[in-house]
Amino acid sequence: MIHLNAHELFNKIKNKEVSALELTNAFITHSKKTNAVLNSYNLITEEIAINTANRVDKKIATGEKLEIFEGVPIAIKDNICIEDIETTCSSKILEGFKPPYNATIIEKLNAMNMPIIGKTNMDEFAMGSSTETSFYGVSKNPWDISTVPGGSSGGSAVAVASGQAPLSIGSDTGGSIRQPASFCGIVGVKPTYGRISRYGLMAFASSLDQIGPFSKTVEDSAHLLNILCGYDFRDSTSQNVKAEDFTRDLNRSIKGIKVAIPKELYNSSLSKEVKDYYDQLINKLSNEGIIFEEIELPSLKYALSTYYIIAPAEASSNLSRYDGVRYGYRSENANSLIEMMTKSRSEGFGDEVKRRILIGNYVLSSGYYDAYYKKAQQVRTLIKEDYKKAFETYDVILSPTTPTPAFKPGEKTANPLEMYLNDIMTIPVNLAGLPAISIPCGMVNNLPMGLQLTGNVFEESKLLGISNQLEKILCFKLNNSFIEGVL
Amino acid sequence: MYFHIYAIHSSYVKIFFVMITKETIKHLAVLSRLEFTEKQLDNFSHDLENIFNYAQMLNEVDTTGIIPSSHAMPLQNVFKEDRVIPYHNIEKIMANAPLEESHAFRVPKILAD
Repeated sequence: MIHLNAHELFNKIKNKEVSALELTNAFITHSKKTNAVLNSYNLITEEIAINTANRVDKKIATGEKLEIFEGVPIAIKDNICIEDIETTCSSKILEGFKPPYNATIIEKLNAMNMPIIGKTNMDEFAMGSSTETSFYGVSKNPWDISTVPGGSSGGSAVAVASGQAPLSIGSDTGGSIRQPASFCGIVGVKPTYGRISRYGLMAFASSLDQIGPFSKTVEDSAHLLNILCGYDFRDSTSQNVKAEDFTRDLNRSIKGIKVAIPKELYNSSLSKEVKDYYDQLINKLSNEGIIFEEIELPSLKYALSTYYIIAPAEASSNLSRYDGVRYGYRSENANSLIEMMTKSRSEGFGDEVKRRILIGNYVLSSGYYDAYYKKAQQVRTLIKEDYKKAFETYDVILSPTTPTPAFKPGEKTANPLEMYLNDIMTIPVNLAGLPAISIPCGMVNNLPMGLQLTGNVFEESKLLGISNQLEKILCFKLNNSFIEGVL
Repeated sequence: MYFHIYAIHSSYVKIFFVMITKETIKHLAVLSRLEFTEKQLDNFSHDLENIFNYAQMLNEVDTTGIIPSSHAMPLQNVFKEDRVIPYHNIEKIMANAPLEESHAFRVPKILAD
């Protein structure tokens, strides 16, 4: 049962084949059993999950009609605030922190009676591409536990791929949902910037951060987006757009759609093995009546450099709030206020977080602001314009989600730049605020690979529709017996 | 400030080699309220040098007259009515304080001896 998708599970509850409590207990039991190997959870929230499941069963007993995904369990990335539940961003500096309020999306999930199974592991403050920077240790990829699950939302991806939860929530600043989805063989969506309220999401880079879902199918993500999206006055960057049903285009034909493949993302940065694989995949899809055209988006070449100036700049400002005064870790070894702050931050943050604070404060320094920060913001404008032009002609833009399948822990930690290069396909999308999805498309070296589709702003319905049809053509199914064998 | 930039060659585009010294990292550490060991100073100066030299490719891009984007979406100031909303969860907030005294955050002395 734990390997069914969210839609199948919801139908089982609705048809009274299983109670919400039985279902939640099955996922909690499996999560507890497998977490020792996978390290995907920072915390399993059994009590709140069971309370929510009981609410659903009460509703069923009184004959009330269930709305979609009521009773379906979900796991939450540990940078999203749940009232009274420890929320750490996988950082020592937030050890023991219990938020006094719920994030907007938690309110929405609670209102939909979706049992929250636990808080998932991540790179510290979402800075990383492998979960290796987590204070609580690296998570394991269920396809091959000697490899990383990707990051930063690695734990959330592992939870869905390994049957610990049918759905989960991540956040994506430069690929932190799509890259782990690709490594773990599942679906991950980064919606348009401002679609989902960031209220209660601990900020990394505010102009890039966006919450989004993980699921086993495109359809499940579309339904979950219906629950998560919407304007929120508490997030001043929340976009006030008309609500829509993201499932509306799921069955629309994709014959004749025009798909762009940017040369800048489909080139020498891919190994021959990976390039050959995608060439063959595109050939297969061409036979289905999809029109592929190679295009140039010249500014994309500069996206990684742009990102690694803008994101750390915003992070250095956002992370100044961690000072040991009001919450989290405080060093005992200080005699003055400044010393207390300096020691608390030095003892509380890991190296990657410190590195990015340094980068951010460098590019924001007077004398360097124009050369780096302003320059990067100008290139960001060019990236947005390149995409805008492309969407005048094309329905979606396609690329691999990552240049390689999952790598091994330690492989890229010695050289931070090499780790950053892993995000080269996903980063441009965040700079332009566009919606994008990674869907599983097959295996290279016995590890899953993802296909990244990018849509125009607010065109999630179209993006999900096309992805759903591609999912049917590609027929990639999680090999559950394989994963069970690993555990 | 201890930042050094050396021009190594220039043809039609300006390519710089950026040097990030240990002194630079020390200065940034003060700005960042962080402190480092000698080994960390070495490592971070090496890392940042690599990263900024990679980012030098931005100098190839002609950005004359391009308006900088601070955001992906067109955003406007959001104005709210100036209205007091009472907050009742003070106990929960104070429960997170490392050191608390009558609803105030206790900290070490602000002025050094």
